[in-house]
Amino acid sequence: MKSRDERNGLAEMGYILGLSFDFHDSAAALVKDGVVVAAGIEERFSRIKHDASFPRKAIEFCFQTAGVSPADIEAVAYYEVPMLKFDRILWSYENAGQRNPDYLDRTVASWLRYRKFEIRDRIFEELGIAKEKISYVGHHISHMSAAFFCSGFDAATIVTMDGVGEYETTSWGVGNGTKIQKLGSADLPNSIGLFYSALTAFLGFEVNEGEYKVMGMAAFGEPTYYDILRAMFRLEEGGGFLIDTNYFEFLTPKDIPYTDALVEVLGQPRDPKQHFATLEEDLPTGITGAEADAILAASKRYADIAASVQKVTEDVIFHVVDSAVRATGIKEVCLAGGVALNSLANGRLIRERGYSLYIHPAAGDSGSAIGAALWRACQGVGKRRSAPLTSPYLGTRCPRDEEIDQAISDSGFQLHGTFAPDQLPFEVARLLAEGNVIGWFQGNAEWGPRALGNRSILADPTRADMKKIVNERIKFREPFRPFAPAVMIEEVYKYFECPELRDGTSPEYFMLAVHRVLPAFRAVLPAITHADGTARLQVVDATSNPIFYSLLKAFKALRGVGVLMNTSYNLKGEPIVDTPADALRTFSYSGLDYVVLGNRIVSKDFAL
Amino acid sequence: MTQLNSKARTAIIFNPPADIPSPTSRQIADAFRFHTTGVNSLTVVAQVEAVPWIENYLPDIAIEDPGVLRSNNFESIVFVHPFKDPKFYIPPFEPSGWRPSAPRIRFYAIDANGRLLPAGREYDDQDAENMDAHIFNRLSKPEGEALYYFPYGYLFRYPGVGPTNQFGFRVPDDLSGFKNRDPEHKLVLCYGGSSGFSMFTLPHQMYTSVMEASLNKKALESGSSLRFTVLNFGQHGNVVMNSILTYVLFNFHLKPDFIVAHDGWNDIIYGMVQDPRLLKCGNFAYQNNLEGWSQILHGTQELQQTQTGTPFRPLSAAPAVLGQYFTRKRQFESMVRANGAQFIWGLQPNSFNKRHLHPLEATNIEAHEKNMPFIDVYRQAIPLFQRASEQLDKMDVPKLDLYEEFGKYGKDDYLFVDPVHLSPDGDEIVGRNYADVIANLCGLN
Repeated sequence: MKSRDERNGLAEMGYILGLSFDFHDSAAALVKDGVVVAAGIEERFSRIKHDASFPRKAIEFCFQTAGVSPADIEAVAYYEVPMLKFDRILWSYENAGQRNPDYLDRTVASWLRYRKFEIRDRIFEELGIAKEKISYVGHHISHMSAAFFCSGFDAATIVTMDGVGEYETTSWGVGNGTKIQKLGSADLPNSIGLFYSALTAFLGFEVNEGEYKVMGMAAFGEPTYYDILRAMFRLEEGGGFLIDTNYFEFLTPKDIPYTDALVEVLGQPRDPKQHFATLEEDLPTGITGAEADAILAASKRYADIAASVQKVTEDVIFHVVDSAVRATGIKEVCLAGGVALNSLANGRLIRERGYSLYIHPAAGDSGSAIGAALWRACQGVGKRRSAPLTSPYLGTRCPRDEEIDQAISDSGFQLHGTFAPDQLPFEVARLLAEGNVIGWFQGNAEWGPRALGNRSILADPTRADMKKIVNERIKFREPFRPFAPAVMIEEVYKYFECPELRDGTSPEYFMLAVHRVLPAFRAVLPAITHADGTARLQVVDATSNPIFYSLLKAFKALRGVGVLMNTSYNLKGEPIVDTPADALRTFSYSGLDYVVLGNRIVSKDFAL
Repeated sequence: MTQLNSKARTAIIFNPPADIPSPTSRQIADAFRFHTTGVNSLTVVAQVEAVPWIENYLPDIAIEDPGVLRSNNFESIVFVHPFKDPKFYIPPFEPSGWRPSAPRIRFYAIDANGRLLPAGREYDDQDAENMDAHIFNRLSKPEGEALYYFPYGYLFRYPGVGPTNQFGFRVPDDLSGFKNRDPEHKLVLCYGGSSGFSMFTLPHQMYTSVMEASLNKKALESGSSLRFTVLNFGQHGNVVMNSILTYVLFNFHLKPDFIVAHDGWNDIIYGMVQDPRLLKCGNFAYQNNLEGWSQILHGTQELQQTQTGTPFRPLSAAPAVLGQYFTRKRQFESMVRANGAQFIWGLQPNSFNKRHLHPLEATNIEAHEKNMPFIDVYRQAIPLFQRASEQLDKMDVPKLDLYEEFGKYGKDDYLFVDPVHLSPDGDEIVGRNYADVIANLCGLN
């Protein structure tokens, strides 16, 4: 007897393994019959932030989750086309205004040493999968696929913006059923992603890591450098744009991706060690007088630059997205690529344009592992669309109670208590209401850079001092960094100026859009209200994350607000915790007061 | 130790820049006096810019005309300059055409921490008299500052701040005289890592020397017939387990009266980054670079060490790290008490608990932490030091919590040369405080 799929003409497909590695955020994803079975980011397993190595552990995780071996893999899809990428590197060298032979030497040496030309061979050597089964998918097509095929939209405008893929830095197109058609692109050196990264470096932060900090810093400034920066872009009819390369070195960068010309117009770049404070109360202890004034003045300048960078970036994003929507006539929009993590821009696209957005929760290169696999699935027999990705909890599975108990026992920390499922939220809410900061570890790990209530650090958002406490004592990060709120769905519109949510795939479920906190509640929720009165909220309902939702309800019962401060469960420079042992180790070395592992609460006490 | 030949005709060339911080200047001046004591023929020259510095910090020394260098009669030349950059070893006021006759002259430098170091040449057996004392000394490279293999633990050669014995401890070679000492003669032995070794102090500045002087003064002032000898068995990198071995191998038979365990940093920092299994299953803490020794011995460099990259990351939870430290320390305590001595639980200080950093401390620490693989580990260890301090507070034992004590000091106090090693002023505080504890135990206060 034929299955329903077979009757519908959809033949069974085998497992397709999607891989991304060799640049940053290596990942693996396993797709079967159009469904994402498992997906893992290598850094979570290796514990090396942005790990770019071959994702052995992530693959192993995917195989274990699905109960398969390499022999069961029908196809492998790699997330970009290596030779095309290398072709671009050579082209860049040939076309650079000032050729930098060191760059070419280093790049070629790196490609040879790390065998970046031999992706198929390496996959074969690692997994024993025949080379004929391994295919390359274009970098931006991988991104587009991750966004569109997981969106649940039958048809959508798709826009990818990142640093650079093979040649493209921005591309747009239309998705329909199992098809994606590219309509246009902007190529290197015209890159909004690299522009943002260059200014991230200018502002003293690490590229590919500090972009969020620029977004956070922007709230403290005014876009007084907007005209200068905006003049560096020429927006073209149809969605393209050109960037003035006098200010940037994107083709063959040396140490820094900007030129002296940028320093001439913006002033000296920020020293990474320089304090940042725009308010006297944020100054480091003991700094007063002229030194304090100098820090405040310099910080204001840098905040103004950040605000200007953000505003120009939003201009370019709006230009590309609006143009693409005009071309397709479809207001359902899928965004992908690292720039799609610019939650300030995303919030504005939703509010001001009324676009129905879908953003893949791992919009960066790790998400391309899923994208490449889904693209490959849609090229195969049956060409089935994937189901909408409503859950970001694709990572390491929820540990069993015995595993949690073993980890607690190994750590030496004392158990505060074990609680029945209906009691746990009330006990945790009580601890939070007392001002404790809590590590919250539940269920499967999140896919993507956001902790969405399964590997989170939680705190009371109504306490004004909580932002400072968590930044300084728990996360050891810059004091200006904002924290996001998780809010139960019933209270979203009470506290936030948030347009109506579409469904469980709305960006607000994945903490991917910033909206304003309603003025009346900014003082009620000081720890999650950023300097400009906004917050990058995460909506939680009984379906999206039942236990987290229960906790929010319990907290509301105690403190009157169904909102919690939610930040990723990691320390500065560390990947998000993955296992109970990781969680307990991070607990050790931070100012966290308790950690909740499943239904166990662990205190900081231990006997010596 | 590196020392000047007292019989050699020696020229000292001062070339300090005008902006040396005051604590550094004091240390250089102190080091000049220490290292040149006993040198029979000493000629001091200085460039013009250095003269005010000498008048301020060494007002009693006579400065001669740099032209005396032309005589070429010198056998030793010492450059006093706080920079490591070798170009400063050649004085900018060098008389035209004069070049020191290098084969005959031994060159030295006194660095910013007061160490006497060979300049522009390798160490040799004239610099360190114990360099060839035993086989493992001889088999190691003659470097001025390096760890080397020893079958009972790891040793570190650190000459330049005064005498060390053949095992690298800042104690005399012959300790046999202490064995059958007078009961009124109290022997205090101190243990710890490089901070216990006191690597940035001259012999008279070591906390153990401060202790000894303070205890003998207290005894004298209180009319007691007690007298004290305090010996320093601190060794670079040592964890408590190493201190136990040192005690067993070198000290047990001396029947010391007091043992000071001045430690904490190494057990916690190394404990955090090492193989968790050894920590948990055997209470073994070890210096992470010992894994490199194993690779060398077995030719297994292709295998990964526990830490696979930098910066290092903590691999064990706090209870295991602190559990090892306190377990081993209790073991040490019980051995010491069984041997008839009193055991003083010390918790060493570090800069993270200092109220405010002195500007020079801030500069030094920043320079030290740059490219330091432990940089994140240092920061993450803070709650563990706090917890250790709390634990010590609860314990009814002879103790001294210097982690807490140093929290009282502010930006006017230059106590740390880096996050954990102390300046002479820092050692002075340590020595006085330990002396108070022992004086109390002896009824001297």
